[in-house]
Amino acid sequence: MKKIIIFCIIFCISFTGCWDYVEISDKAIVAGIAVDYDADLNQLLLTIETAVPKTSKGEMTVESGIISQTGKDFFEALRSLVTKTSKKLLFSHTKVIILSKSMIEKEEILIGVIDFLKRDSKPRDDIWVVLSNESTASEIYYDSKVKLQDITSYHLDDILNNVSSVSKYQPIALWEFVDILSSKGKSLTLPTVELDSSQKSTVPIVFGDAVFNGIKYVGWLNGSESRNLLILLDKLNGGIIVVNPSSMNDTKGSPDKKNVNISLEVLKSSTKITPVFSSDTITMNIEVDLTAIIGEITGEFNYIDKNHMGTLKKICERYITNEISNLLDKLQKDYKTDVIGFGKIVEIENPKLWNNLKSNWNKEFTKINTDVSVNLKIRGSALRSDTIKTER
Amino acid sequence: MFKSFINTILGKNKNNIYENQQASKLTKSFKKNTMIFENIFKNDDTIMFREIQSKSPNSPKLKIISIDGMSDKILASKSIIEPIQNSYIDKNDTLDSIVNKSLTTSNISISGDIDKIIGSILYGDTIIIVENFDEILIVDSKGWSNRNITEPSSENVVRGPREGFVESILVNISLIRRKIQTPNLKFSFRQLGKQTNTKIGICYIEGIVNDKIVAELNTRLDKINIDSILESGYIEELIRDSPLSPFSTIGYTERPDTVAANLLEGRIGLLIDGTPIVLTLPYLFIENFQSCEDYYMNYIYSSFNRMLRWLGFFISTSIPAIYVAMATFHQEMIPTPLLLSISAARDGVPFPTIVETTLMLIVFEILREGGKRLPSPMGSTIGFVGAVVLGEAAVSARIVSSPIVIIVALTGLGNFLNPQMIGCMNLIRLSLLLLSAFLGLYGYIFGIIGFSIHLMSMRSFGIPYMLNVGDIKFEDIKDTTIRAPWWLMEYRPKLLSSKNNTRSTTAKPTPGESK
Repeated sequence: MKKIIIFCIIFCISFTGCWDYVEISDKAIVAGIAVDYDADLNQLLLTIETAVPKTSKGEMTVESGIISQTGKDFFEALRSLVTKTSKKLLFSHTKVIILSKSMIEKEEILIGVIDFLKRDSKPRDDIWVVLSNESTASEIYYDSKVKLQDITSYHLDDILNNVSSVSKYQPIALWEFVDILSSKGKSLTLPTVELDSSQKSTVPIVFGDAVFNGIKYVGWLNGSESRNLLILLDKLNGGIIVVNPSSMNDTKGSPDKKNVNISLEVLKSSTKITPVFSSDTITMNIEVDLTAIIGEITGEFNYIDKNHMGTLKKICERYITNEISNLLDKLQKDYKTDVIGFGKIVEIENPKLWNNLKSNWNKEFTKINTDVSVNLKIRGSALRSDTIKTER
Repeated sequence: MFKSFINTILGKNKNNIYENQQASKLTKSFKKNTMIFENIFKNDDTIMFREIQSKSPNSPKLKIISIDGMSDKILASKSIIEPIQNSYIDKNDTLDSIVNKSLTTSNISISGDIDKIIGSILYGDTIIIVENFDEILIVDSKGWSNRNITEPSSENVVRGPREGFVESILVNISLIRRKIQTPNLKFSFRQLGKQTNTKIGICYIEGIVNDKIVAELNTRLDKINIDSILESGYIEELIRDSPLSPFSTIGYTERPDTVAANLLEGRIGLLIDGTPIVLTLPYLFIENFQSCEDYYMNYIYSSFNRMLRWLGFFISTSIPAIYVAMATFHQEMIPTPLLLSISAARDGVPFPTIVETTLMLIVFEILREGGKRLPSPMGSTIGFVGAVVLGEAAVSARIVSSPIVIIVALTGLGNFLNPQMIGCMNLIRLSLLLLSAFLGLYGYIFGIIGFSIHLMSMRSFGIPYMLNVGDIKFEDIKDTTIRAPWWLMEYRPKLLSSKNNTRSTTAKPTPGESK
């Protein structure tokens, strides 16, 4: 009996996966990865950003170390990087992977990168995947000079985490990326990162979403289109909607003909999409419930009055409906890509029909009729009950 | 034959000189009786003999024997010598009549048992040998000096009695008796230690205590055969359960109120002459986290304090192990900013994390142990050396990284919450640390499982050591990690006091009801 117990203990200890005693300081902490494709050499160009913590005179600073390496595939390039970093790479704290347009269209390279990230035990599934809107991915690292934070990748990570306060992009984590890529009935979008050098220093910003059909880049949605996409996906948790009634062709009922902008801060949003199947068409009833408060009004407008309140509500509702319809038009007519996941909805609601349609879904998607209705609740108007009047 | 020869050479023959002398018996001859004691205390200069006679012309010879320093000389001269010399004792008087007529001390006994008499002399009594009697008067004249009753320095309280036990068992008994004034409070005595003849008092409350535990204690005490008992630790190690375990299965305290509370819960107190420490048993694991003050303070605050002590136990035993495991095996579990700062702090440190940690823990233990024994003026120097050399210099010289200093400081803080467990926590901490250095968190959990099995398998005088630790019934957890208010604690602990279970029937106070 005693022997059995001793054997059990020995086996317990020796057959574990935890044999790798490694000091933190012996590893290079990878904060982010940028992947490019060099078409001339038919090679992959890998750029990693490592966080290099330093202590000088008792104060800790973190510096960003950027290293590039070419290789035939992702794994090979990664391992070759050790010759430059001198330390093994630690992927547990990687936050961002930046893809370039040239690379994403090269299927075997894209699959290779994702395969490695999903296969290796260290990288996490919640790494953000972003697309570089610049010509290469590596220049995001090389050219940006972030002042607020030393590490570009962590800067991007914070931007993507704070989506609810801007809502101008839809963050996609690695698991979602793989999930969407490997399923039919929904297409991929990736938030795009670009360098903003309009100010004195160059800062990477995340703005807009790239739309993919499969892995083919078909187009780009700007900030407010991305927000409307978030509404359609029922993922909007905040952000600002600037209602600009004068931009609408139909200005009936607007307070006056002056250019009045109303900024709504979204508190809550929920979207329900219900398909209606008729003999040869599919109609999607899209009901949007928005709760918002008035954040800013430019110009004079008495909104506290009951009648005017109703008018304001109607204007905003019409404006948002209009915006969403425009986005749907763009997706259906220009990009012909189902990033909202109508296909999934059809699959769930009417699997038989889906079986017929799925082989030709991209074409069928363009034929779907949509009916958007927005129900806006204006909760309040922050600290003021009227607009500021100026006497001129 | 050969064996007994060897034994004689090695001194294993148990008949020592002292026992040989006991062979002689008291007779009616005054001279012989005197000779016996003169022989026994032959080379002892502290023994005092004095021969006196009473006023009566027909007075018997009386010999007074006592030990200098142990007996009260003033008492002897005022209450023994003076009354005898002033009275008329006849040769025909019995011992009883001598006692009745001529002695003014209160506690006098008559004995012919030479062992007892010698014991009495050694314990500070005065004996009187009277001519023509084969029995001897033993007069209680203990008069050695005692330490005053002071506040126990090892168990200070903010609220609660300020008295602590002293080295005299008699004083200690009085301290307990003053708290529990019931005839059911019983003391039974025995002497242990062949050379020291230390008095041991077993004390319990009849009707509350579990008789089986008393019987078990007595059988264990019977088995003790040792030459000396100088402190309670001797007895504890000789009678405890799980003698190899680092966890103590017998409790100790310096406070009479703690002993009284333990007795009232059905436990047994073991008083040992010569030490202010009183043992209490059975002892449960949960008692490590309880303090007498918990019962005097607001129960919410007390419950919070008890949870703090559990937290301290966890911090003290586990923090170094968890740190090493996370920093060397599971870097993905550390939040990124913390990882960066650990990495920055470790930059340039020559030793692996485990060496650093062990080194600093040992240094901390050295400081602790050193500070304990040093006279207090030098004690503060130790703290200074520790703070400057280790806190500052070692970090800035990059011998150790700064998180380690924090970890060790935290560990030390956790230590201080459970001062009675320091030794045991050291052992747990080191073993968990080594395990997690080899196997990461897996090893740590491995160690936790091991210690849990060990703790769960232990008993203290038949009572499961982990009693009430894992319980979820409200009745059972009333006095564990939380301390329920007194009006809720209706019953005594179940297994300890099986007989008289009800402690209180006071209802929750509802002021204003009497209106």
